[in-house]
Amino acid sequence: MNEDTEFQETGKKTPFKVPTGFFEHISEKTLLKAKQREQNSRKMLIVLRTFAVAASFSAIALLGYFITETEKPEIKQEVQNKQTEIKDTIQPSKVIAKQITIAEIKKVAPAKAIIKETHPEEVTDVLSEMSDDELLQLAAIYKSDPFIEESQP
Amino acid sequence: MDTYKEPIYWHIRRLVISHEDAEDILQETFINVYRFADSFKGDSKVFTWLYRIATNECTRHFRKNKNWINKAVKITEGMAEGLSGNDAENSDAILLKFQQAILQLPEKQRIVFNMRYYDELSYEDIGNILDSSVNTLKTNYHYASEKIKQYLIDQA
Repeated sequence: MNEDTEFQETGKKTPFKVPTGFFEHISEKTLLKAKQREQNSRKMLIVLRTFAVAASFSAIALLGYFITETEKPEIKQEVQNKQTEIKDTIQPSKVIAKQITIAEIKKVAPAKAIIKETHPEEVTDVLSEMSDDELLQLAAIYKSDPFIEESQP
Repeated sequence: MDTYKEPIYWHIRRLVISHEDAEDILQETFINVYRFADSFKGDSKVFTWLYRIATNECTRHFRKNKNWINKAVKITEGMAEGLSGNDAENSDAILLKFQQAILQLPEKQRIVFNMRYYDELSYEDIGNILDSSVNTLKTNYHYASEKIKQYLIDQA
């Protein structure tokens, strides 16, 4: 294959044309485009920097606001109130359960002994008004409480 | 820029066909040259380096504009339709047909053919520009010229 003798009919010409004066002005145009691009990138950089500074200031201001707000006594008090409210709503059943047993031990059992000694007719009335469950509970407390046994004559 | 703007423009123009696209790519090429001038180590010739940047910009243009080939074919068809019967325009018709034949080639063959045939670059220089071996480039050129000949015969 001889490359030099190939396509002799067409030669090295091309059918394309360029507008007149194109090559005279292309350097200027290119420099102008480069300058515009640089200006645009500078503007973009300035915008980005401004945005970054503004964002940092906002973040600092927001942080400062939260710190000062949470340090105020009325806010602290409110937080404490909320915390106790939450505690109450989380553990109500346990507290009630404890209150019932302690109350029964402290009130019902000794009271029963005293009532039995002083007003025997009232004990029967009290017992008749109690439900079966309450009676069973009372019996269990009575059996398990060593102090009631000791107080017996 | 003044020394190389014309050969680089024609290299780009032959690859992308459209003048507007060629102008944009030429400007982009020289902006990149200014931007990356410091990275030029002088290992290769200046024109090889410029051709490399310009060719890379062209391939980027091909990837970005998937429809560019249809646009190029339309341009050459439009130019062919604008020709009448006199002798000067008849020679333009042959040139246009030749360009249409080149447009049928795969991208790599088209680039190699243009660089070798029109720019008359050595295979070593083309190898430096495209990061290819001389043998591969010779094969590419051979296939390209065979396909062009066949296209011209078919269209005759």
